[in-house]
Amino acid sequence: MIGTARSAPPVLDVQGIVKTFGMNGGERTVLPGVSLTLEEGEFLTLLGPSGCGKSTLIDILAGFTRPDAGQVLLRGRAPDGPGPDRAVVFQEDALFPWLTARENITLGLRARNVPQAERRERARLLLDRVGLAGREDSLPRELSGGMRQRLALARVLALEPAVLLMDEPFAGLDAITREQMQDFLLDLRAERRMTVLLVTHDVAEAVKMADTLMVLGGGGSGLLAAFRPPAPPPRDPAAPDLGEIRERIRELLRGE
Amino acid sequence: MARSLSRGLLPLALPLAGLGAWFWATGPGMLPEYLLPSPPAVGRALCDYVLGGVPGAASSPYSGRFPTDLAASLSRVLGGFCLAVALGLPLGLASGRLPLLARLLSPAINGLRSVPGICWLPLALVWFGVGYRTTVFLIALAAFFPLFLNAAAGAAAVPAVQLRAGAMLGLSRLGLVRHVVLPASAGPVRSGLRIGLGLSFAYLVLGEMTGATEGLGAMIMDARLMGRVDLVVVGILLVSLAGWLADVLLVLLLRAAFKSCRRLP
Repeated sequence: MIGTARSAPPVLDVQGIVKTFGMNGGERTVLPGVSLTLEEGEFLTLLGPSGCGKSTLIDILAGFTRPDAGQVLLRGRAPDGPGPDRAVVFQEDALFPWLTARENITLGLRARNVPQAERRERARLLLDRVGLAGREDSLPRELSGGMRQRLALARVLALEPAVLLMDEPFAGLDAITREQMQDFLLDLRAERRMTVLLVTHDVAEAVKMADTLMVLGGGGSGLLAAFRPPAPPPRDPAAPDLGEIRERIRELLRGE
Repeated sequence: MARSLSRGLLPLALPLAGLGAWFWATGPGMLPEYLLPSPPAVGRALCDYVLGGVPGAASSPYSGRFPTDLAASLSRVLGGFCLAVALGLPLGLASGRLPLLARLLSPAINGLRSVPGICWLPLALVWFGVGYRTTVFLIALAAFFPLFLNAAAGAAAVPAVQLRAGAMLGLSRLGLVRHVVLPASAGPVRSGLRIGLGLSFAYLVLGEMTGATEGLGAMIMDARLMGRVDLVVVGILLVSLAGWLADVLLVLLLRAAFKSCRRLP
């Protein structure tokens, strides 16, 4: 097919991921063969109860864990181990406590040999963007929980990743900060056309933010359903036209 | 102001109380001079040993010998401690991260570390003879274990999420060691270095007591043989002062060299 452009492969093409953990002699299947695709610029939320394997799936996509079966393709290629093309914002505090806000951002740039002056400039712009201007020299422990997660976001934005993987990034924040962070993430995403996979157990968060919403069942039951609400995010999770989706999700999660 | 002053003086409280008790115990009708010399007598001996030719001090071959002894002792401490750091730190960090290496090393190391250092002395004398090399060997051996064990514990306790974050940022294996494992274990590693340096001074004296001609330990042993209890006390005071200063210097040096040490909570 010389001369014809093939359609671009999806950012993430995940096929048949199986993961089983050994547990006191027995075995527990967490992911029974999960498949999903993530297109360029798409925002996908993966919703599920604790223990449904959503964090395990993120670990596999990020390259921290190997699946027992199945494959992950990033823009058509199988990545080898973790890397800056699949940036992760962790649930726990994963900033380096001995590095300042600026140094936390520039470490990833150092790893790819960006010159120092450019590293500093890019860190400054990013800190500015996430509302941490003037806090370049603060240590993570001197920042609030919300500021730390914004710093974690800035750190991975510096990598210009193909996809942003977020593992319950706002679970540890208070309700008000969490909502601010959700709006902030949606702004950033629109501004930079980011491809995002966000894992959460918060139905309202998933409904508010996602283009595509997938429900992962507990007990190794795998993907139960996928929804594409018609209106673009951000949505008011209490809006009446979302009522049906919310009800379906509740039913699915209750049926566990 | 008054509060900060009293806090500043607090570290001096115990030494001053000790000095008071010492004056009292060596006062009239108390302990005789040959058991415990009085502070003024020790002070005179100290001045004579450090500066030399102090009038009124018992004339001795030790007059003004301190700089030579100190130089000899410090070179032994430095040699032994550096050897222990060069071996204990990389081995400890590696065994904290590599379970196979830990399994290989831990029986040998845990067995050997329960052997008191003094047991090695006869062997060290046979191997290295009296003097510099025996002392360096004993110091390196003694300081190795706390260095190794603390580095291993520190490296094993690095949070998995920080290693994952480092790998995600694109750090190589070597980059992970340099930018994550080492700074994340800064606290335990620093403890190991401080304990190791303290032990170095203990084993310095042990090594020098066996016939070395120069050094603080050699001086203490000579003074004992010649019945100069005042000089023995001088030696004890100077070893503890040197050990304390070395510890302060080590902590300052680590703070200057590593931001992870500067920024320990």
